[in-house]
This record gives sequence, structure tokens and C-alpha cells, in this order.
Amino acid sequence: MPALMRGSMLLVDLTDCTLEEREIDEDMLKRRIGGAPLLASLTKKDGISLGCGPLTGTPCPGASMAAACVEKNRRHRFAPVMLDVGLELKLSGFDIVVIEGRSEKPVYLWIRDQVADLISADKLEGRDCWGAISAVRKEQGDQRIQVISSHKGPSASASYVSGWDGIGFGGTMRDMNLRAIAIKGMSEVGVKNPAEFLAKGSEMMKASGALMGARSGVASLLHSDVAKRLKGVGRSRACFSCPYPCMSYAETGDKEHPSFSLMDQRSIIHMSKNSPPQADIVKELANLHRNGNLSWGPETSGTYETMTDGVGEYDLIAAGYVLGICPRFLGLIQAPLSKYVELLGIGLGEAVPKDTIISLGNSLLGEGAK
Amino acid sequence: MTQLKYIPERCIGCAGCELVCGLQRDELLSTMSSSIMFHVEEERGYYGIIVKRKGGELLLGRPDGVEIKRPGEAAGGSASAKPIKMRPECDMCKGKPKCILFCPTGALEEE
Repeated sequence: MPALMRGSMLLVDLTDCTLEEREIDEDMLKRRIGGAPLLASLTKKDGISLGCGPLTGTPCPGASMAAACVEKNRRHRFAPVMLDVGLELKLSGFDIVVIEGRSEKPVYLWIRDQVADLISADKLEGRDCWGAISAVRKEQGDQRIQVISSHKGPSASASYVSGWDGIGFGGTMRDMNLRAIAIKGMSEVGVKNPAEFLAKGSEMMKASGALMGARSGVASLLHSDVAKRLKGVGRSRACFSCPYPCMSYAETGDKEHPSFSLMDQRSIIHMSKNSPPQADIVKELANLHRNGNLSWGPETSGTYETMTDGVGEYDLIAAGYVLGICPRFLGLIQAPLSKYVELLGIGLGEAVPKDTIISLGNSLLGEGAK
Repeated sequence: MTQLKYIPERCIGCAGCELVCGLQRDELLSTMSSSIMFHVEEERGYYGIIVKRKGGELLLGRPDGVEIKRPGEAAGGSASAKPIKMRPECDMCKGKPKCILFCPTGALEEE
């Protein structure tokens, strides 16, 4: 087992209902490092995939990100899946999940502890994105299961969080008759020099926490005039191992799902410009999100626009997609990439040049993005 | 001996403490042997932690406060791959707890 990754991928063919575990070629892992570059090499035609970077799910600032990929017309597009999806995928026993084909009947994919199953989605019938998440968690008996779900619109929800999918991942899932992808990590991944890795990650976390100051909640991503329009927004939360709690829980007014996680600043800004002053943006967004929609409608033209609107730190964002670090966090606080590269070297037991990481990321994400 | 203390109003729910504990104990990335379990219910806007402390007592860190449950008292919480009662007790890392060193907001302290 290589350090920081398991070296294992899950191949799912929905047409034949087959699941296969395969080793990732060691040379490919070394050349492509992880995250988006690996997905670009492994995603099938008209398929989707999810993958970890080497630092996804490790104790360092912003290590929450799994990359999602959609292949369409020979073009790969990427989005960052946040919250705890990256952590759970990292510990699921598979670094990468590659999905192709179309299921005859609606199904969901259930991944845990180096095992995966395709399960009938009968119990999810008629349920929106949020209803599907609740139903899967209830059926599998664990609130911590991370669920990516699809419904009517083009965008997926990841455990009640929307706004990250500007690449039509959810719509492609629906077209494949794949209602949800559920992931729970019960496995383990090796690290070289674990004590040094933990000490370095902790030092970086403390330093980042100090840099964040009082910045908190989705309002901290918005102009004050826009933030004022958000009603019913409460406690903030961070994704896994991130010192920046940029998500806020918001009230829906719905008894079954009284709260959802709001980090979709792009939709909020769009709605504040295009809806009357008396409109309740939060309630309207809740309705959009649970149906798989975002207020800005069509898919984005490029990866950099997903979650990182206006951030502009292209090299940092590109590195995030390779390493598995949240691009929003890296770009917004302009995190010192050299520290992450040093940490990667400790955890792998060998150095990887910073320029290799940046050029690898930019070569993929630059396509139509800048 | 000192014990772990949780300050809910400082916690941002990053759950890093859970993984750090597992890494410290097993020298692997894993949460299964962590003495800390993160608990979250997104649809209720709720998160907190449970810590298995010395003597098997459980610290229940909820958004609205902290409660200590002695062994044998019902602790609640949702089902999990490995329930907190089956996990090892926090030994404070036999020195400076690594979760305290990692936490970016000071939500964990020694008491």
C-alpha cells in the first residue's frame, strides 16, 4: 500500500451491474499524484468519477476535498466535493471511484470498508436530493454516511450542501439512473513518518486558524448588503479539517428537514441581483437545492468558477485539485503552498516538486477555465 | 490526572480531532480507534463530539453544553461503525494531547 493513498480503485458499470476493485498502476500514481489528474486518466467516456488527493482526509488545513469529474464530448470537467465526503472516501478503501453506463432501474451505490454494492433505489422514489440523503442514512443506519444525491436538476447535493456542482455531476447521475452515492470510511491508510506528519499538520492548522481571525459563516463570503438579505441563518460549520467555517446552517421552514447547509455564495449573489428586495433568498435557495438546482442555472464554463468565484489564485486552486485541499480555502487565505508540499514529502517519504503539482493541475483545469 | 475539556461555542465542527486521535494511536489514517467521535445531524444544524474519558465515562459535547455520563448510564447518540463504548479511553496522549495541539479554535483544553 503506497503512503497517503491505498492504490486501489473501484470500477462500476451500471449497464451490467458489475463492480470491480482494481489496483492503480504504481507508475501512474507517481506521475499523476492524485485528485483531478488521476481522474482525467481513468474516467470513462460519458462517465463520472470521484477521487482523493494524497492530502485528502489527512490532518492539515482544508484537507476536505474530493474531486468530482464528468466526462462529456472528450472533455473532463472537475468540481470540488466538500464537507466530509473526501474523508469518508479516503477511508473507504478506494482512492478513486469510476462509474460508467446506465442502470436499467434506479439504484444507489453504497461504498464502505473496501466493499461496494449497487442497491435498489425503490425507497428513494419520489424523494428529492435531501429526502434521498435521509433515506439512505436511515436504511444503512449511520448519520455520518456521506451521500451525494441527484434529483430533477443538473447539480448534485452532498449531504445537504449544494453549490459545488457546476459541472452537471448530478444531472449525469440522474441520466445514469444512479440516485445516490453513499460513502462511509471504516478502513485505514498508511502514512510515512506519522509523528512528524501530525506535528507539521498541527503547526499548519494552528497558523491557519490564527490567519482566519473572526471570519465565519457564508456571510463572510458576501458583501454586507447581500449578507443582510439572508434570514434564518444560524450556526456555522467547517468542512473536515478546515479552520474556516464558511458554511452556515439555514432554516428551511420544513419539519422533515428543518435545516440545510449553505455555502453557495454564487447562487446567493445571483439571487440578490435578480430577485425583489422582499424575496426570502434562503427559502428560495432551499427549494432550488433540494431539487438539484442552483440559481445561476447553466453549467459553468470552467472548473475555476466552481466555489472559487473571484478568488483568482489559479496556481493555488490548481494545486488544491491535485492534492485534495479545498480550493476555496487555499485561494481565499492564499495559503503557503510550500508548507503543503513539505507536508506531502513527509507523508510520502519522498519529495514532490511544487512546480510539478502546479503544472499538473493547471494543465487539466486551465482547459476553458481561465 | 488531567482530562479533556470541550468548549462547544468554540467548536467549528471540522472533526479533525477525531482523526488526529486515531493517527496518534495507530500511526495510520483511521478513525476507528479514536477516543473522540464526531456527531453531526445536518438537517437539524447540530454537531458536537463524544469523548471516552478515563474510567469509561463519556463526555457529551453538545452545542448547548457539556454533560458527563458515568459508565452504565445511557448516552444516546446515533449508530456508528464502531460505537464509542467499544473504543479506547483517552489517555491524554501520555503528555500533551495531540487533539489540543491540532484544534484551530481552542475548543479542546485540559482540565
